[in-house]
Amino acid sequence: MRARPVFGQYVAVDSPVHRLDARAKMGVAAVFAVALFAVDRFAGLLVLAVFVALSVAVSRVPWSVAVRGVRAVAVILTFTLVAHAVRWQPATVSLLRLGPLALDAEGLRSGVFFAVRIVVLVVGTSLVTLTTTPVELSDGLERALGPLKVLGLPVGDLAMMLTIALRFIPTTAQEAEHVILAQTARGARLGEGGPLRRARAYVPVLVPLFVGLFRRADALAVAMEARCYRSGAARTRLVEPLMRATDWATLSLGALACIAIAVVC
Amino acid sequence: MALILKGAGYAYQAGTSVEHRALADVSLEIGAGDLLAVFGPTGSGKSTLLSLMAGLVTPTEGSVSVDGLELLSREAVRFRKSVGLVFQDPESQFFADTVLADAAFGPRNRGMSEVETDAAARDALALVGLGEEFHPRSPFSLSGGEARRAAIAGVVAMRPAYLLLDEPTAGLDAPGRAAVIEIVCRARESAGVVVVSHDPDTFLPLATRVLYLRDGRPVFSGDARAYAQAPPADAPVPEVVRAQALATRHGAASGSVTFDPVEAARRLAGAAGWPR
Amino acid sequence: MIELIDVGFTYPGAPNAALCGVSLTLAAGETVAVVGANGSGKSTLARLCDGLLSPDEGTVAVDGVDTRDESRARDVRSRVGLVMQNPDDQIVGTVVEEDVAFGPENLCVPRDELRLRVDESLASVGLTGSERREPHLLSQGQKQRLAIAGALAMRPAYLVLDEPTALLDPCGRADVLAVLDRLAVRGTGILHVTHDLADAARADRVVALSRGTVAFDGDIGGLLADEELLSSLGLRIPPIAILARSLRELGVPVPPDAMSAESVVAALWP
Repeated sequence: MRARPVFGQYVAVDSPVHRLDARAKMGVAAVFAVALFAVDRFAGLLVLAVFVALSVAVSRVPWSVAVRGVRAVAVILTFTLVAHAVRWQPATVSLLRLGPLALDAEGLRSGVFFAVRIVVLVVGTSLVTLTTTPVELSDGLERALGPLKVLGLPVGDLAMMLTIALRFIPTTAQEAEHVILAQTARGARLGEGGPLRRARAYVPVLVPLFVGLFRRADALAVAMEARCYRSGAARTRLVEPLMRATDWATLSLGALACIAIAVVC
Repeated sequence: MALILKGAGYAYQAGTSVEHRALADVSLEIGAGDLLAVFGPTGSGKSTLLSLMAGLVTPTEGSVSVDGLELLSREAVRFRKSVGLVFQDPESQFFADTVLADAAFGPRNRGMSEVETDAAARDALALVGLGEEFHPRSPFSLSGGEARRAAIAGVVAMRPAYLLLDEPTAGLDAPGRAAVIEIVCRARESAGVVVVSHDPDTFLPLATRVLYLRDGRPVFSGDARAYAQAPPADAPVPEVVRAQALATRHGAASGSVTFDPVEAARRLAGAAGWPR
Repeated sequence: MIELIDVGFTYPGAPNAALCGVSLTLAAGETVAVVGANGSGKSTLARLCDGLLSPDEGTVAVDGVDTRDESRARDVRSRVGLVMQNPDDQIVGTVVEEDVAFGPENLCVPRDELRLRVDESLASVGLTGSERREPHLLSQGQKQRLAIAGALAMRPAYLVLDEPTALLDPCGRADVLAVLDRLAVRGTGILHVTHDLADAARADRVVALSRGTVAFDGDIGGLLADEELLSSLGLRIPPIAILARSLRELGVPVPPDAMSAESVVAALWP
């Protein structure tokens, strides 16, 4: 039975970053992201990039894994660069001319700036999911959003939904494998032909899977009711991690540093 | 014409540091009319065995062949045409609007014409005892036993020369179980049947051959009667057979074993001197 | 005591009643097996005992509390634990200990006691040490024991199990039955719904349902002796029970609930 990594991301190593509370990490990441977009000089970008690089180093996550997210946005990066740097028959002086297209110095500079910003953003924010298990993330999110209960938002219910979804991802994956195998044994040919053909071929997999999921939802609801779950009701919790001094320190210093950089640059 | 395994085995992630030998060194032969019962605890390699026999994976050691055709990667598709595999909990594969349409899925994929497909589906549903009144019904509306039968029909409709069933009676009540037993007996008239089961009471009396696996290796592979007569230690056998085996320790003659509980009672009582 | 008096229930839109005129009691500390073919109303009975369903006719009372009393629903549900056939449909937590804690968390049990209850319940089902494991990595038998632990964490006086071993292999089944035996010794009332007579033979009393009505209520010996009734109920008599019965007819003193080769041989050669 293969254990599938949820989100394909969490890297199970021990590091100071891993040990931080999820709320501290998410908080710093949020301020970091805002600061990144507030910065308008290369110097600011550089400082934030160094900050990310140091964080990755401390987290003991392999670099190859840490920058994997960049590949996913390669298309956006290229597009950004080209959109800024390449001009169509401009009147101004250019670095290079190729027929009607021209490579503009100023445009190249801003293109690089925006592209680098995207890279730093992707690596920086993915560090949160790389060092925090999905369970810690959803618990952290629930506690962080707790105060919003005052506004009437069903925070507890949303958190419960997220927990159940996480709990069933591996199980549903196993069941999907089972159905795929069974239909293959009946001669289904999945993964062949063009996109339309493939989509149609997956109907015999998706229908049983969804039917099963709905049945399971019904049964699970019965089980939860039998264990006295009530939507929106108050509940105590077995594990309630507290923000420690290190967490508060990281959160405040990290946030302050990012704000400072944004203001200066 | 036979399904033959020679020293067959399968290892997951073969050649890597996380290689896991799920099955090793299995040799057996089945032909039409045979019923091979496969016993063994969970994790003993039974599911891997079925996947090998159905051509879903290629053996990492030894060979698997069906009617002289060996299972090599490119030949796998042709191989799969003669072997039908009914998985555990087969009702979880229903997807069509009607029972008839779901049963037709397999034969159509096999390349049969629409006419042949329709005939094959109807024949299969008849074989499993689901009459015409079931054809237009949604497969999701069937009861437990009916659904199991409809799912088996979906595989039987492909007219396989060898029918493999993984725990076909699991989760069924007595009438449901009886219906499946009947299907298995009818199927073996024209095909070789392999049943993986935790229920020796039901399938040992019907079997011609037995394979008992533990930790991926065969502890016993051979004639079913020989298995019943002298089961290996801790091997799954019907309680009635176990009673006869235990009785031999008290001096009861170890004649040929019987599956019939009434006959067994007569012999055991006689051996112990009852009625007194 | 769980008491059903003249209970009738029909699922909305169903042509026939699932249960009709059913009366049944489960005393504290008693183990009762409910047997019957699929469609006999066994599962409906299980859900009525927990208050998840309310009877259309008659009453269901748990320790004197009518299950139709909405204001006491929590009381009833925490007093009667429910375990169902498919373990995956009952496990909610992302790790073992969080799932076990789910029930008492809903009852707002304070944190220290939560930890105590989780440890106790896991010990009762033999899963101590698996606290941080993820459910999908457990075997079916372990998952079902986890589901039982989740019910036990509510400290119920009664445990209703709806075909808990139907989807398990012999190993898992033996483990679950052993847990039930231990609970019975500790005084938990157990209602074990099953279609397996070998499982039913372990109970103090057997109730047989047929098409929504009670067809038998007594000890297993009486039920096994009635061939006609058994075949009308759609139940399979284990071959070993037939052997035991034949031996009894030949004068061998085999106990009426004998379901193993050992017990038969012990009677033959005392």
